[in-house]
Amino acid sequence: MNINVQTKSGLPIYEQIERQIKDMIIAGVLKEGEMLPSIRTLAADSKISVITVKRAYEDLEKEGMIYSVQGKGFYVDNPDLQYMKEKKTVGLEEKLGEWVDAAKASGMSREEAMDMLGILWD
Amino acid sequence: MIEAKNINFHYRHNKNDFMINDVSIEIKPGYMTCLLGSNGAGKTTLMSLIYGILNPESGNIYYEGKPVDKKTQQAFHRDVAYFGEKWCANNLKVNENVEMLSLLYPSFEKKLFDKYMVLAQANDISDKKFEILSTGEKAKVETAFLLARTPKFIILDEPLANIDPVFKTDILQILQRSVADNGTGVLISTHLLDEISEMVDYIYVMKNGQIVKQGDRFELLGDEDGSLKSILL
Repeated sequence: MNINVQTKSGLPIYEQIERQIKDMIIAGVLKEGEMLPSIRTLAADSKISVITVKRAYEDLEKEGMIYSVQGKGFYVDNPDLQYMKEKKTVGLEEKLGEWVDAAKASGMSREEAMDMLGILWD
Repeated sequence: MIEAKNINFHYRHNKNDFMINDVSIEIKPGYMTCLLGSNGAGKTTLMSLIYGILNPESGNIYYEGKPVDKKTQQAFHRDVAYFGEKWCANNLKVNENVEMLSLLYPSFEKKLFDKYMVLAQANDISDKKFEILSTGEKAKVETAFLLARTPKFIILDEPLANIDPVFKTDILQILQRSVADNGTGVLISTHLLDEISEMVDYIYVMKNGQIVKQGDRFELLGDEDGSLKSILL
């Protein structure tokens, strides 16, 4: 499993790990029942501390994204994926709404805004 | 687990005081614990006391709940590796040194040594005389050797001092690998938190022979960030 951590990005590392794993589960890259790497293995592979990974796994377990089996490890759970996808989209809509308001306030036209979106997307 | 409980020690040599004042620390298996302090804070003295090179005036070292004494010391030294003494003979090649040292430790496995040397990017130096290696290369050899014994614990006294930054990463890499593969408990001392901050789980800050701060990385931070900022020494 490829987790990309950026140590100086401002976002706490445990949160980076949680987000990436969550995204992989939502996208279906990590499938239900699939076993995650052990806490120590992920820590060594990503060169971060064991308790940072532990915290991320524990948070994900609390959210119902993964579950643990005593003596075996952590596995992908079956969270309400549809709900999670919708939640993510709602978040994006809100962000986009804010951006549209700001763009309008700056005097940008619809066409200019669409152009900007096109450029940034690529 | 290794526990040092209420360790006291005082030794004066020339005009230097080597003092440890009521220190208690734990080395947990499967985690990386850092002893952080500026030079002269007492890190080497404390590690020598834990490993058994020095004896405390009062207080005890416990290994798996039992005090380390003459009866239990052999088992303790079998399970606990110490980086800080010079094990290798300068005029011998790396390979020859390893062969010689392996006679002392039945748990040593040559193929593990080779594996760690590869992981530490040091596999091309086995044929060289120890004395011509750089400080960093020597540290890689010694760390790889210690880990190839599959110790339950490893104590490293400033293993990264005077080493090329690139080499530092290599050495930390094989330590982490041992933690991941074997649940090794690591105690590592440094005066520069930055060089190991991302991998450290627990920290003891030492000053004037005492522990002045301790906790896990989240506690010592004070906020939610989880990345260590500079801790005032």
